[in-house]
Amino acid sequence: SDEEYRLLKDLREGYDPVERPVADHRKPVNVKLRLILQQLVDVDERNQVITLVVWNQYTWNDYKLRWSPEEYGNITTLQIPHGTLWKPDILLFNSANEHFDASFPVHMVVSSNGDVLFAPPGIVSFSCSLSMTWFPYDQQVCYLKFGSWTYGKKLDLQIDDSDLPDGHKMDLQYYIPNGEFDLLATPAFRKSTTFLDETYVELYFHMHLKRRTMYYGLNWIVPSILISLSNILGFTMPPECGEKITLQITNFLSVMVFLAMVSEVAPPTSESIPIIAAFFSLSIVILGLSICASLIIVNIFFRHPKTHRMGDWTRYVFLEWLPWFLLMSRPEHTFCRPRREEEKNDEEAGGDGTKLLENQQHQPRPRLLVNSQLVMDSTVPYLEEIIGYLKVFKAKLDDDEEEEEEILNWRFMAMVIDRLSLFLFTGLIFGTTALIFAFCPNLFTDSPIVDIE
Amino acid sequence: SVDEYRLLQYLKENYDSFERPVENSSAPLDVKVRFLLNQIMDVDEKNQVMSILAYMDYHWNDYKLTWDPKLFGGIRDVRFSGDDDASFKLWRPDVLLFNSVSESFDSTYSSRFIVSSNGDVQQNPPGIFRFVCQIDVTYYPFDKQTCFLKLGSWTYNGQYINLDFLLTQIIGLHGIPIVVEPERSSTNYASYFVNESIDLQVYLQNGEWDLEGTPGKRVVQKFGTDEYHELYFYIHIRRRTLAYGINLIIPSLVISMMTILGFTLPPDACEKITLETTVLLSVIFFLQMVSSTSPPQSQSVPILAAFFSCCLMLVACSCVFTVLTLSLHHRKPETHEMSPTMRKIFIDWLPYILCMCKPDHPKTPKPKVLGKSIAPIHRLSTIPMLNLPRVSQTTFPDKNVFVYHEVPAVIKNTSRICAELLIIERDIEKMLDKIEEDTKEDMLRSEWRFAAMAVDRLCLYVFSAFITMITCGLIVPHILANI
Repeated sequence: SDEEYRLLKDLREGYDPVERPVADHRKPVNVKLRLILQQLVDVDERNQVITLVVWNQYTWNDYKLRWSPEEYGNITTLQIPHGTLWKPDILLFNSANEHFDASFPVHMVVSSNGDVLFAPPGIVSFSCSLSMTWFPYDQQVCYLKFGSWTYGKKLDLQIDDSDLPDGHKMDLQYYIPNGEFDLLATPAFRKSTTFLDETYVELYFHMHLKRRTMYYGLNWIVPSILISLSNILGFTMPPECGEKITLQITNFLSVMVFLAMVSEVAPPTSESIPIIAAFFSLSIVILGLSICASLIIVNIFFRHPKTHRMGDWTRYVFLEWLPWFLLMSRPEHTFCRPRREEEKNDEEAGGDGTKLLENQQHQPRPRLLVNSQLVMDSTVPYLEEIIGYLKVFKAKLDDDEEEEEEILNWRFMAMVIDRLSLFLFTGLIFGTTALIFAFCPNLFTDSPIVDIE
Repeated sequence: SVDEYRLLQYLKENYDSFERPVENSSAPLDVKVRFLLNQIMDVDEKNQVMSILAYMDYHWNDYKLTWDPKLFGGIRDVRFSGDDDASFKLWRPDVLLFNSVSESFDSTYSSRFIVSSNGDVQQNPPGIFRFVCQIDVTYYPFDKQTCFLKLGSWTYNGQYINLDFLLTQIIGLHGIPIVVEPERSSTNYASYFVNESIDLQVYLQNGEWDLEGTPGKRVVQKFGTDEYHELYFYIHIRRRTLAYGINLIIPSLVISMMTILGFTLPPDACEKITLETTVLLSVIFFLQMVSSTSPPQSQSVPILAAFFSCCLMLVACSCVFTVLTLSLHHRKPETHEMSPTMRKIFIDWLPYILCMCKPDHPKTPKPKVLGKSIAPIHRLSTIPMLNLPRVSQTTFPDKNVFVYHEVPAVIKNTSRICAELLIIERDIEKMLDKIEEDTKEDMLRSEWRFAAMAVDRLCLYVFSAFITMITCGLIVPHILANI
C-alpha cells in the first residue's frame, strides 16, 4: 500500500544497519533474550554434545524505527527482512555446530514504538561436560552460554523470563518431552567477565536433565545380575559332568560383551568412570577368581592316590573341620567324633584274627587218628598253598579298597572346597552389587537442583 | 546516535572492500594472528581428524578507517558487520587453515569487526576447526599425539601481507602468563620458533586428553621470486589412561591369567579344550575392540593390539599342547607301548627337572604282592611228587583185614580231595595271574598319565614365563613411563 511504502521510505532515510540503535552513543543497548525450547533432540554421551531445537527470541528498542500509526494508515507493525536492520551479535559460546551459529535468518518484527522482535529458530548443538559416573542413574547439568561477541558494556543483555513458572527460565510451552531424559529445571544466570580488556555480559541457561533408567535397567542391569547368579550356580555342579568350567568361562565372556557395550556408550574420559563399567570390571575379576577356584576344585576332584598323598593336616582341615563348619554331611560318617571310629576299627580287626585260628585247631580232632593223619599228610600242602594264594588275593582287595577310599576322600575334599567357594562367592557378589548400587546418589531422590552457580 | 550515523557515512565514503588497506601499494600489510583454544572436542583416531573449538584473532591497520574522535562526539570505536550478506563490507585477510577437513573448508563464523579511531581493525572469528592430525597409535592407550594447524593467506604472498604471530603476552595453562620470545634461525631471519603459541585463557579441560604444550613456528618459504608466510600452531596432547585401565587393561590381565590356568585343569574333567577355546574367543573379541579404535593403517601397530595378538598365538599354542596332553593321557597299553627313550625322557628326566614326585614312590606296597605271588608257584612243583609215594608206601605195610577194608575208601576220598584242591589251586593261580596282569596294565597306564602330567606342568611353566615376559615387555614399561 502507499502508506507502507511511504513508511518504509521514511524509515530507511537516515538509517544505517551498522549504527548501534541508541540516541546517545555512550548508553548501552538493552537487549532481552528469551529461549523457547522446542525439543531435546539428542544427548551424545560419547562426544559430549547435546542437540536442541530452540528459538532465541531477542527484543530491543530502536530509536530510529518509531512512527505514529495515525500518519501511516494505522500501520502498527512491520516485517523487515534480515540484514537490513541492526541486530545484536549474540552467539552461543559453547556451540558445537559445524557453522558455529546455527540459527536460521528470519524477518524482524518492528512495532511503531520502536520495539524490534527477532526470533530466529535453530537446531543448536552445544558442548556439555557430561559426568558419566552414575550412569545409567545419572543426572546431567548443562548450560548454554550466550553473549555478545564484540560489544562489551555497549550491549546490556538481560534474561527475559516474564510469565514463566518457578525453576524454569526457558519457555517450555511448546516443549516436547524427550524419551530418554526428564527435564527437571532450567535455571538461568547472568554473569560479567573480562576478556581482552573489555567487560562482557554472559547469560548461562542451565538444563537439569535426569536420565530415564527403565531401558538400561531392563537391558543391562537385570542380565548382568542374572549372569552373576548363574555363576554362583556353577559351584553346585559336580566336576564329573564336565561342564563346570564351561559354564563359568561362558559367563566370563558374557560380562566382557557387556563391558564392551558400556565402552561404546560412555565417552573415553578419565575424569569419571561410569559406575556400571566399574561394576562390570569387578564382575570380570570375580568371575576370574571363581574360575580359578573351580580349577582348583576340579584338580583336587580328579586326584589319585598313585600320584598324590593327602597329608594329616590337610585331612584334618578339609575332611573333618571344614565339613563340620559348613554343616555338611557324609554317608556313614559323623564329624566331631574321629577318635571313637578309629578304636572301633581296631577292635574289629583283632576279633577276626582270633576266630580263624581257633577253627583251624578244632577241626582235625573228631576223626580217627590213623585216617586223619593220612588225610592231613596228603591235603595240608594243598591247603597251605590255597591259603597263601587267598592271602595274596585279600591283600590285593585291601589295597584296592584303601585306594578307593582315598579317591573318595579327594572327591569329598573337592566337594568341601566347592561348598566353601559357593558361600564365599555368593557373599562376594551380593556384597559387591549392594556396595556399588548403594553409592548411587540419584537412585531414590527425584528433586531438581535449582541453586546452581 | 547522530554522531555515530555521521561517522559511518564518513567512513563509507570512498571505501572499497576489495582494496587492500595500505597507503603505499608496494608496502606489505602487517596482519597479526593470535589463536585462542577453547576446547578439544574430539580426536578421531580412526579417521585421523582432530576437532577443536577455537577463536582466531586477527589484527591489522586500515588507513582509510581513521577519524578524529573529537569531531564525532567522542566515539572511539565502531563495529562493522562481518556477514556475507551485509550491505557494507570491510576488507579482511583470506587467511585459511591449510589442513582443514571441514565440509565448508573455512569453518570460522564471520563475526564483527572492531574498528578503532586510529585505524586498527580487529576480528575474532570463532570456529569449530576440523583438521588432519597424524595419529600414532603405537603406544595406545598410553600414547601422546602432536597435531598442528597450518595457517596462511591463500592468495596474498609476502609482498602483500606480512603474516606473523601476535607475540604479546600469552596466557598459558591454569591462567599463568607466558612471555613468548622468538628463537630465530641463523639462515632465515624471518622464520622463527616459539615455545608457546596458543592462548589458553578460555581453555576448558578435556576429559580424554591432557594438553601438554602448544609450540609454534613461523615459516617464510620461497617459491621462485615470491615468498609465502605460514604459521604453524602445534598441539601436544597426552591421553588420560584411567578409563582404558578399567575397560582394557584389567580384562586383558584376567585373560592372560585364564590362559595359564588352563594347564592346571586335570584331563579327566573333559574341559581343557573348552576352556582354551573360550579364552581364545575372548582374546579375539578384545582384539576386535582394540582394532575398532585404531586406524586401519600398517604404519604402526598398537602395543595393546600386539599384546592381544601375542595372547592369541599363546592361546592357540596352548590349544595344541592341550590336545597333545590329552592324547598322552588317554593312551593305553593295548594301543601304545612306551619306548625306552620316551620313558627315559618323560618319566625320569623331565620330572626331575620340574621337581615332580615319581609315581613309584607311593606304590612301595605293590612289589610285596608280586613277591608273594612268585613263591607259591615254586612250592607247587615239588609237593605232588612227595605225596604220591607216601600214600602208596604207608597203606600196604600196615594193618591187614581192617585196614584193607578202609584203605581204598580213604585213599579214594583223599585222592578226590587232593584233585579238587589242585583244581582250586589252579583257579586261584589264574586269578592272581589276571590281577598281576591288570596291575601291570595300570602301571603302564599310570606312566602314560604321568607323562601327560609332566608335559602339562612343563607347558604351565613355559607359558607362564611367556605371559610374564609379554606383560612386562609390552604393558608395564609404558605404565611406569607415564606415571
